[in-house]
Amino acid sequence: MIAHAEDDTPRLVYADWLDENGDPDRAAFIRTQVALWDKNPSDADYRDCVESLEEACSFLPHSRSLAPSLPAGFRFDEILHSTLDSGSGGYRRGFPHLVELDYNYEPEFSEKLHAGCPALLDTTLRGICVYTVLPHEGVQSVLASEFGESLTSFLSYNQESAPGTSHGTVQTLLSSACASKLTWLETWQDSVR
Amino acid sequence: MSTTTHLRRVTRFAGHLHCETKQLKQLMASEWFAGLHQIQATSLNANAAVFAKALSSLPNLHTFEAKGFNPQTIPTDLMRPYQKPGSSLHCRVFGFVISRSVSKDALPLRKR
Repeated sequence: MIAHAEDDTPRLVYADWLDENGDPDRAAFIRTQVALWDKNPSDADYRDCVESLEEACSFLPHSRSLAPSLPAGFRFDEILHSTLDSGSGGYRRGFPHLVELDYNYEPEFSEKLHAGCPALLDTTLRGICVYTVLPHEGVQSVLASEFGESLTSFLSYNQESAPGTSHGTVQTLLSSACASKLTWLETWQDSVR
Repeated sequence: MSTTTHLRRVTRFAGHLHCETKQLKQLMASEWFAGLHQIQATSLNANAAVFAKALSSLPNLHTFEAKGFNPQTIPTDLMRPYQKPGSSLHCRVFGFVISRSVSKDALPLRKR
């Protein structure tokens, strides 16, 4: 799954294994997230897929952590339910996918982020989410890593609204090697200039 | 045996587009944006004309959803690309109130 992060087949094989080994609830969660991922809202079965995912999530308690262990400077959102309509949570296609950059104002924060990136390549994480206003260098240090080149998702919140921070990150991202694999881009701002 | 799987997944953009027009133009000028399949846009009012022009030239776009503004004030320019005969684009526009509910309650404005 890690080596072929974009391929659904290993995930579905793993779901079969979970079924045969006493974990049908997680198997259903994987299958329903995979089924929904490439749907679009105009598909006739889109709403059925969303409802199937909601049902699967209801059987998988939040107290049961599926989160990977993360290096310093990163954190994971445990919310299970995620669709095109409601993009919250760190799971995509049944496995941890989005990791948040956790800015803690420490000196050499960017260097610490960059140092943690190799460990992320050993997980199914292939997306980053930037909720808080980060120094431009923090985001760039991740994009410049091998993990950055493997990214398929990038979510940015409030970055362009703070002068001197990561203004232009999206443009940098799209003109870099990261863009070749990118399938999901979100940009949001709270304050409007 | 080693095989390489190249999956061409749906590419999506979701965003708040009441940003500086320059930023929006930079985004839309990228090669990545040109290949988009799905777009969800909110707060589009200020940049509606700029965005509408770009949408009309996206060859792969099959879903466009605009949320968060009054359907009665949608600029004509925004809808013009979807009024072409034979268009297969699925387009939904949500108003302020409707956008707070789940999408199954939204009313499709145009679906061809």
